[in-house]
Amino acid sequence: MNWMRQVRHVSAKDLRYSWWAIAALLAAAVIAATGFVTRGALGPIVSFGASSTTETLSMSDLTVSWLPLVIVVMGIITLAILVQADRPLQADSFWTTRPLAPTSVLFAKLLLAVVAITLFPLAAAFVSLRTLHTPAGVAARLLAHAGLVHLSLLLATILVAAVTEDMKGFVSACVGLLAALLLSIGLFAEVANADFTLPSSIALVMPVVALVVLAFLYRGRTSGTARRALGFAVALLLIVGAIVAPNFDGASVPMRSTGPRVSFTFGTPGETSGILPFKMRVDDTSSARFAFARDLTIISGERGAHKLTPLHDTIVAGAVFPDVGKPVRWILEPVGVRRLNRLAMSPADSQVISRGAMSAELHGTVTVLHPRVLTTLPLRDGAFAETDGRFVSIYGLSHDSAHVSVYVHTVSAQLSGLPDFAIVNFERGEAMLLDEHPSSALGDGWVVLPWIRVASSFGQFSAGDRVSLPRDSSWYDGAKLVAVDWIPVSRYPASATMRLR
Amino acid sequence: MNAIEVSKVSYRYGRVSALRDVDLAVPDGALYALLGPNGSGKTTLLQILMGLRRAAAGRATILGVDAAHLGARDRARVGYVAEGQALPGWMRLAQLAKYLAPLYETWDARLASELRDRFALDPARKIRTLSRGERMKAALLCALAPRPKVLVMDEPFTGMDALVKDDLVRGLLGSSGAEGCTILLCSHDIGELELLADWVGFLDHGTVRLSAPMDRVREEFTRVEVAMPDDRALGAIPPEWMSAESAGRRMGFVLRADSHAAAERTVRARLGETADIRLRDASLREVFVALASQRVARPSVEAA
Repeated sequence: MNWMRQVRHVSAKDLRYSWWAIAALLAAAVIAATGFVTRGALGPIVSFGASSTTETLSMSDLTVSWLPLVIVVMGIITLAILVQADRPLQADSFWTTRPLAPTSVLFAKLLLAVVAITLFPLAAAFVSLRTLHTPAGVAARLLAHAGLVHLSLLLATILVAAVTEDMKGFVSACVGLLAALLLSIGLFAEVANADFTLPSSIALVMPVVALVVLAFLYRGRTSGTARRALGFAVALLLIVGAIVAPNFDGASVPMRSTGPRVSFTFGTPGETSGILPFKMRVDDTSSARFAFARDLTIISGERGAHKLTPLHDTIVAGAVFPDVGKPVRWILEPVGVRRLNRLAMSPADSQVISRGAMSAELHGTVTVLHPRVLTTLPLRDGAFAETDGRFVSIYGLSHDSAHVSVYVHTVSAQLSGLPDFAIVNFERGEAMLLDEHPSSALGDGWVVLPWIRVASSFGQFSAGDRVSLPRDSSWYDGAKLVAVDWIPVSRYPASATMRLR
Repeated sequence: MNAIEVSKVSYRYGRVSALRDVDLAVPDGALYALLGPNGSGKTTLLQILMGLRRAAAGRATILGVDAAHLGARDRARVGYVAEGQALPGWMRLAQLAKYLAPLYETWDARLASELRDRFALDPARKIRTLSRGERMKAALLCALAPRPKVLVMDEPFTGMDALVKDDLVRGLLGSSGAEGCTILLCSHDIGELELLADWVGFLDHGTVRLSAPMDRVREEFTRVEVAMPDDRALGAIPPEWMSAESAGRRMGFVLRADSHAAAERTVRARLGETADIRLRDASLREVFVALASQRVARPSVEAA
């Protein structure tokens, strides 16, 4: 029997052994995907907050929280059982003295791990993402990330199952590994520089290392403390790799050397507020917005230069109103947070500034954002759209002469921020930008696997102004709700030094 | 030509030495009984032969192939049954046979069926529901049905009732041997092995104390029964009088000598011409006990 036939032979045996577990896993994936296809997963589901009197709207916990976890746990248990059915490191193991190539036994396990336990849930996730009209590129990126994380965990499962003697040992080893992981992270945080992050390439390298080690273990057939330790160590690194796995989206926004000039003006810092008043202006009059992500802040004063504790906040400047596709007159000024240009600081940094700081130096990256109309909905209860990986629907509407509120449910598979919402009456050429009410219920969950996150928001978007709001309800009859996304198109480095006093 | 060769093999479990410079050769077609007390290293040696453990030193070969590098084709020619052999408990016996058959070009379905009938194994039963003895039978079936060139068995009779054991030993092993299958067997059932084995090895504390054809063992080990004519003290028993026991004027022991005549000369040289000495070939059990007893402290026995 040649190698490939051996793989098929062992795989067929494994399928006969675990068909019920694999069938249950596939059923769970189908149920999870069905929740998205039928939109049952998206909600709204009424749930209660910490106080039993507080009602919030959310997605279906069963579909977006529990089932993805169940799918992962079932996959891990199924694979562990399959591996332990043909343990490589046990002298009385059945297969080790049969005419089977060790790598064919290993490959049979990998085949089931990839096809039944990984690819099928990924396919279910893909279908779910497509129901939200997620662009193919975005879906591929999300699935690549999920596939890498899932496979890393499954490889770790194979390793741990291979070097333990039974399921009790496997579970104990998993608990031990998690404890070791937490301990390692704690120690690492103590010892390493706070700015240091593990390279995500670990996630790409470790699966290859794991395959080599597994082949070594299976070929060796023999047990031993060193081999077990090797298995556990590689499993631990696989889990670390899964944690820092790349999102495959780093190169999507091109980095330029320059862009529109950014200037900063600082106010006087409060001694204890922890806020550094800050204004950012961009020499640009287009419809773009500019998000400045602060990487480094250096405060200089009488006692020398002091590098502030890294706080990676982002400040947005540029166009206040989004381009809604046609020229409109904005009848209300927004009162939202976009004009708040302040840097948050740690209490220690606030004290440094209060002790005679003279100037501040900021370094960071500006991301140029262009507006793009995500969807235009008729302004009525129940209107919805699925586009670009989003689900947007109106689940409530109220307006009078002094106030207008639109209740919008959004679901996004890309974890991008909420779009801007504007009510636009194209016929009259008038529009008003809505502000998000603080009572919005934000939540997130997962699409089939816990490595593909989905965010939901049940929010109230409103505007209020007794003077400027339309007084006739017919204005609203002909209006649309326009959701505008801000798309990052380029990035460039920016820095400035300003006097504080 | 030897089907199995072990040369200067050593193995350690941590600080404990399990095998020390073990040399062993099993000729083609032989049924080699490897004996030794518990913890003597028999199982470790067999596992090294099957490539399940890597020798720290030395080399072991089966059918001319280094045991550490046995490939799938080599394993197809070697049957292995271990005490407590893990079997896929979820499978039915028929499923197990169906799973194994394609792996062996030489799988004999008729023999498998015969063995199933002989062992009274129900093919529809799941293996996990079988008794310990029935599991060993199933393992034996799996090892014998491919008609291997070499059969390595570690305590294969564990849990079997006497009837089946007898049937197996006399019938199956005998016929396999007749077909040229080499068998290396560890078992505590010395009485059964004595009838069949044509080679015997004795492993003690990781070293081979004896490895010889059964005929030569019978020649070399003589059971001596001595009756003294009077109450004269026997004095300290020489260490080469193995597993000695005495009661009154009588004493029995096992002596290693070239022949009965040589044994008698040795005994008379110590006890004199008046002693009544009776000699016979030592049984394998007596040889086993004699060799095993040599490693424990020997009391000095005085005649009454």
